Amino acid sequence: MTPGDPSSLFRIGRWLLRLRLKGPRVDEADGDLRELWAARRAAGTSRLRREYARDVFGVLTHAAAARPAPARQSFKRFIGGDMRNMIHDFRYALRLMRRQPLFAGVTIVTLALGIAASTGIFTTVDRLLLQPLPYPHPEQLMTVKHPPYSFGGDRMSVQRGVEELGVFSGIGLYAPGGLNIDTLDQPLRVEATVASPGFFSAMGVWPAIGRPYTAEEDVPGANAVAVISDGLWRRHFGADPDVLDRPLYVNRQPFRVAGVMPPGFTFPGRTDVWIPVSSDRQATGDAFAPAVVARLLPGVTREAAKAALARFDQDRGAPADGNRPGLVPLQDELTSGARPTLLLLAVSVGLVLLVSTSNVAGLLLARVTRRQSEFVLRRALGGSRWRLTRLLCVEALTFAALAGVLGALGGTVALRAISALSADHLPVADLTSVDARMLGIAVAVSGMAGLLFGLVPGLAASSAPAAHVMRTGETVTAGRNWWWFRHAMVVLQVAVALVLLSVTTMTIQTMARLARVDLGFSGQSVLGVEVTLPIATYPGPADGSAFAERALERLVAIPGIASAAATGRLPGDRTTGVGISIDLPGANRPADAPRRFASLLSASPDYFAVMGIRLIAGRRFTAADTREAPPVVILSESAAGLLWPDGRNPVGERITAGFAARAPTYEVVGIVNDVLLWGPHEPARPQLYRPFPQGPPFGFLSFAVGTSIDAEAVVPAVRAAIGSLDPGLPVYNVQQLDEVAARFLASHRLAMTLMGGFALMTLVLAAVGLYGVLAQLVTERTRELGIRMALGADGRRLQRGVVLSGLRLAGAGTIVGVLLAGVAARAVAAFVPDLDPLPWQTIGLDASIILAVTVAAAWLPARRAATIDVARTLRA
Amino acid sequence: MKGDHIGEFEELVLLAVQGLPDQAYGVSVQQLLERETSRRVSIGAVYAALDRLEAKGLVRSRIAPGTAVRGGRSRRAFIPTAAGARALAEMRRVRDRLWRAAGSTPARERT
Repeated sequence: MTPGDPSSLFRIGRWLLRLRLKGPRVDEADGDLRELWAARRAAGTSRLRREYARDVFGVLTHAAAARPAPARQSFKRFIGGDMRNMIHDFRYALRLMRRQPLFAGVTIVTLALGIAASTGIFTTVDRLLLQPLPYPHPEQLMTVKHPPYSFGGDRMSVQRGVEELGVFSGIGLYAPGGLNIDTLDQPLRVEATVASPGFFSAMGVWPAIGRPYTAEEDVPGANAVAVISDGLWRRHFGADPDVLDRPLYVNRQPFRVAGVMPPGFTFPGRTDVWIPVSSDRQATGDAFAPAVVARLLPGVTREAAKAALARFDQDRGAPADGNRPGLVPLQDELTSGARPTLLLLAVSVGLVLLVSTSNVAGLLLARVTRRQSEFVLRRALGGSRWRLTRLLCVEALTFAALAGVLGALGGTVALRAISALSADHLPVADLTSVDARMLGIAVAVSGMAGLLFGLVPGLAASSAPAAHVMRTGETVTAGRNWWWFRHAMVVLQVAVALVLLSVTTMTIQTMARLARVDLGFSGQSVLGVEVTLPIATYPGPADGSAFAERALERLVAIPGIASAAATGRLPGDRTTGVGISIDLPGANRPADAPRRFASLLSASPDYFAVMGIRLIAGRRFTAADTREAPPVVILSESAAGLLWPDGRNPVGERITAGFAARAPTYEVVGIVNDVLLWGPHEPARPQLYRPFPQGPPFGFLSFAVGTSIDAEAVVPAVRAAIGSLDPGLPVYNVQQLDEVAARFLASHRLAMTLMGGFALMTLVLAAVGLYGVLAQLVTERTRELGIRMALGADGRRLQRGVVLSGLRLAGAGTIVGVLLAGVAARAVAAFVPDLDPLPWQTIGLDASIILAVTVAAAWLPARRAATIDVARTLRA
Repeated sequence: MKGDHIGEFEELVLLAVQGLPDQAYGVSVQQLLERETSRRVSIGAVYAALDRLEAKGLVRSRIAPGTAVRGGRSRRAFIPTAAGARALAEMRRVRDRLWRAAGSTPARERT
């Protein structure tokens, strides 16, 4: 075939043209191409064949969009598509990210934030609330609320009675607390639980080594035995398999190790030692009010067991005004405190994920619009629809994968933070690694959104008329159809941001209110330390009070310590306090009249001064209030109000305190303000103080030390002073009391911080979303705006127009948001018991914050609209 | 509105059709544009532009008999419609105005 005889070339060309063209168009193109050939030959052009091929290709290219290739053929090609193409697509996606680092960064960070936050919170919720407890048949585990025993009753017989009801396979009493363990080198303080033998069978967990203790071992005078945790076994006994019957000195009394629990079992809390109820009077103390765990027999429903329990309670002739026993799944009981807050956080973080995903959807949509000409070109050049699909899939997955990796890291960090910040008020759960399923779900949601919002409009865009798009560079078809969607997304984001901001405001307001609550004591530069005086060495009340007196002498001698006082338990100590019935002497109240209870506290003379507790009337305790002196008490305001509702000054009056009819009488010598021992959430309880020598605390002893220098600096001296009196006594819970006060609000602060973070994230995302929509609006209308300016439109007016478009969206979102926030605030206040309801005015304030932020976000694109370079725009 | 927009290339093609009375078809338009703009013009691009112009009602076409150099293949001959002529005139007016505007700030692009 020579250049002079192109007929076969024309035949091939015509055949190719027929692939894309129809009827007279084939003749037209064929004829034109022949004519061009002739014209070029006449002009002496070289490479005629190449020019011809280029023309054929050009015609095919421009006709391509009009006639999509049959899908089935392309599908085969897609299935047959080799790995190399996928890798190619992947590298293309990475290259695109490098070329548009801002877009890639914003997209990935947005997705990663959503993934990290939701993975962290959802993992926490899952581990704490949804995952069943890690004990056999956890659904059978119940807590008996208000167990049918009284302080005076024989608990064991009650337990036997309950066992005979035939609804429980096991029932156990337990009360967590702390114990000293004496070792060779230094005394240890461990968490310990007093548990009845039934505890182990009720929990359904057996020691990995040895055995649980038996009912025969749980009687006074029996050989003391203990079950220890795997952790204590490793720390204290070096994981010696020959540990059974080895001695363990608990509060200076010899116990023998009966068993070692399997790894991971530390219920309740972080218990290291379980001892029988009757083995240690110190641990059970003078107010032993254990929790009760019961395991339902297989096939017995909770309702049936509850009914049986109520009948039993009635048969025993329980007082009518008393609380009826209740039956609550153990897991619900353990998580009841954290549940509302956690669920609130879970819902909030779900909203964050929604906003971040919708934001990314908007970003991808905008990008598809910008890339329309690329897609059209790909299709025109013969790229099949499936080839494009794969490209978009790979791109979306690349984004999702990178965001997933970042999100997993962020989620782990978030989880660690939650775990560290909440250690004190969340039940024990493994919060060290994010849940793979939760991460998978979050990444999948984001990936799906990426696929959906990258793919669908991408494919739609690619079928736009090729010639128009490529010639004009205009991006019309894809954008417009999705405008409503992007607008709706912005409205949604603004609304959600407002809802989260409002709920955050609730937490902040509540926090502020709680922080303002007067706790009744001042922990400023006061150091608290605790010791347990083993009954074995300090058998009587006089021994404890003598120890305290000597300790106080040594403490005040330390330089930097201004004053020191002794008491039983300091504020913040959650261990069961002692309640005592108070009344006026000779007040013959009917038997069913409600009793007046006060918390029983001990105080050395300086206690009120050191703690900053105000004396309202009368006097403080003095050194003259000795054991032999007439018994005196100081009442808190609310205790006085309980007995003398008329508000008269009760100093000098006499009261009785105790349970029996012949309760001893005391003289009231002073009135002090109420102390919120357990934080600002709980109402003040009536309090009754006795002077230390007359009513020393039972075994437990705390010192409050007022320091004139940095409190941390005196800690070693305090330890040494107490150690010099009794070298084997562990000093624990050493802390500054203002930290104790701060810890009251720790869980609130955590919830507030997380909610604030979520609200800030959604606010930023909503602003970015609005900015994106408006920026695209300006980009798309650059030509129009340019012409309008050329025709004399005022730049300021155009700018206002863009800001107004933004305000319309933000305004719609704000209106929706205000309504939703109003509903949400009420729902949240009803659902989370500690949160104060939110007034409408505050929602209005939040709404104006949102509007201000959105106007700022609208400002940048608007400025661009006002500064469009008319000449350049129209030349482009 | 958007369907009526005319891109720069379309404008040139329309102008070429106008300037080739009774002689406007694919090759003649392509040759004229290549000559006058000194840039490569693909015949496919010309087709696409003509198709769009026809779709917008700015040009009309009819099948015309072929010639020998075309191997007897028919060709598609184009003439501008009244709307096409109006569009060209309007565009010219806009450009003139813009030229005047650009003329008052001549150095802007170079700064």
